[in-house]
Amino acid sequence: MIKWQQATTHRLRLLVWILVDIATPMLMIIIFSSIYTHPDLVIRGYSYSSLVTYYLLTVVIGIFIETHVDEDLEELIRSGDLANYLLKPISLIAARFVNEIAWKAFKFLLYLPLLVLLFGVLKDKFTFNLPLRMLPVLIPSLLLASLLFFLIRYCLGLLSLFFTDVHGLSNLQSALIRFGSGQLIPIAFFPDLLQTINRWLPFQYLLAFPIAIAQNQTRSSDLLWGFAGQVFYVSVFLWLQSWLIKKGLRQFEAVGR
Amino acid sequence: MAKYLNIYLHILKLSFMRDLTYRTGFYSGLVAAASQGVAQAAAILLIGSLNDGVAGWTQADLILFIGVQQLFVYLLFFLFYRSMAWFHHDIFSGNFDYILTKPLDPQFMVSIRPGGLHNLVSALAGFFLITWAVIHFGLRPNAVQVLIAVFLLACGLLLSYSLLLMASLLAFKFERVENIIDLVIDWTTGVSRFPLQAYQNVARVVFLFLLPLALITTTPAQILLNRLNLSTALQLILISLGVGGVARRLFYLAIRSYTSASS
Repeated sequence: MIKWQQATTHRLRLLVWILVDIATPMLMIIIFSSIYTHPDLVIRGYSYSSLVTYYLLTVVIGIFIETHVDEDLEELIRSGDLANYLLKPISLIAARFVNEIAWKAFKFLLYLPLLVLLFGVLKDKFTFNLPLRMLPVLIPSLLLASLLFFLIRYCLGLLSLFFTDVHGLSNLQSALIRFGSGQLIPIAFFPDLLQTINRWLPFQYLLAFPIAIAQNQTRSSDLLWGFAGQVFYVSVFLWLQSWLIKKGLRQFEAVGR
Repeated sequence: MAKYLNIYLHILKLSFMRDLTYRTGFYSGLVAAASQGVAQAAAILLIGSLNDGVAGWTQADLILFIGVQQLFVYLLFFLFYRSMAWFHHDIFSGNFDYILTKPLDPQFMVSIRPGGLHNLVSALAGFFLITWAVIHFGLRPNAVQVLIAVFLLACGLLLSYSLLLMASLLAFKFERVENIIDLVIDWTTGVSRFPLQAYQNVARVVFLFLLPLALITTTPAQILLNRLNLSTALQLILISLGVGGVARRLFYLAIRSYTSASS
């Protein structure tokens, strides 16, 4: 409730953020219409219709997985307000995660009218044929992707305990995520070498993997490796955040408190 | 004019001194700019590789185009991003009063906070990419073509700045809308990331006639590639000047309704 109240205090600001979020996917749909010079063209397994679906799914799935917990953490650490959490009998990561869940529930409601509009405008251009039996596969992949994204950003935020300025690292990570997760262009369009390198990184499990499930493009082996990858990286970043906070709190001074 | 130029150069010097005092911030910004630039450039080249270029632009053309686009984007960030962000802050905090009391043009005062030496370095990287592409692909633009390309880039910067300024004027009416700058920057840099010819149908009408953002980077690149399109170049010049005039008019209209936030 508190998060919802905070979020709706400045409504125009919210609307602007929504428009920022959809800018890139919409531009990519427009640009690809000039690449797909005739309706039957298929490039690396993507027709124009499946590509439009892909970018619409990046918007929808992005609502559930994207987080800016690193900025919140950076602010908490810089202002010294982190001390408030340390004094309370609650886990910082649990508190932030619950905060995120509240925000995402509300965020989806906010985006709903825009999504309806987008899907309405593009209804002749996209195809969505996910069988119902794949829903029990899609939902856990989204949950894991959301948790993984949260942990990656959380670890980045914790770096503020060690460095005065993590702006560069934050942007580097954002660029890697935008590229490696398939948010900018589908991973299938990468050269083979880049695809091989990307396979070993956590980013594809954020967006590309859930989208592949949603577009019914996965085989059983893909699902197995995909979930194994998500679970593996969630474990890695869970360990990393506990190591970072243990090391970082030794030098945290709560400046100003 | 000389007075304003002197003041601007002085503020530029102070900005550089501030950036170099906190060198971690400078290197951090450089990493940030480089990573974003590389990601965007890679995306354009990957798309270009899918179907032998984009709308008649070959991979070689796209490399030059990317150089122009990077030069434009980072000059935009360097010249205007910090200014517009602080403009919002000044209005919100009431500090705008101090700007209005100074014996200088207030639009000039809100627009002269250059931001981030790292953005200038990144813009230089775009310039070097253009130079490399010109040499490597045997393009031979003459001095006049280069001057026209620079002039058109300046017109593109004027258009983008005017849009940023007009969007920033919302701060006089609404609180906490500083993210409108990010929206304008996203759309401006996003649309100018691809050549005009990549836009078709409704998008072409919008980005060519209504708001020629697609011309900002396309026309300078076309001139360097010896494919000058006089009508689109004139269109960019006229619309930039027109929107610039409108932005200035709206700025002064907005000031009339400014009541301060207690200073």
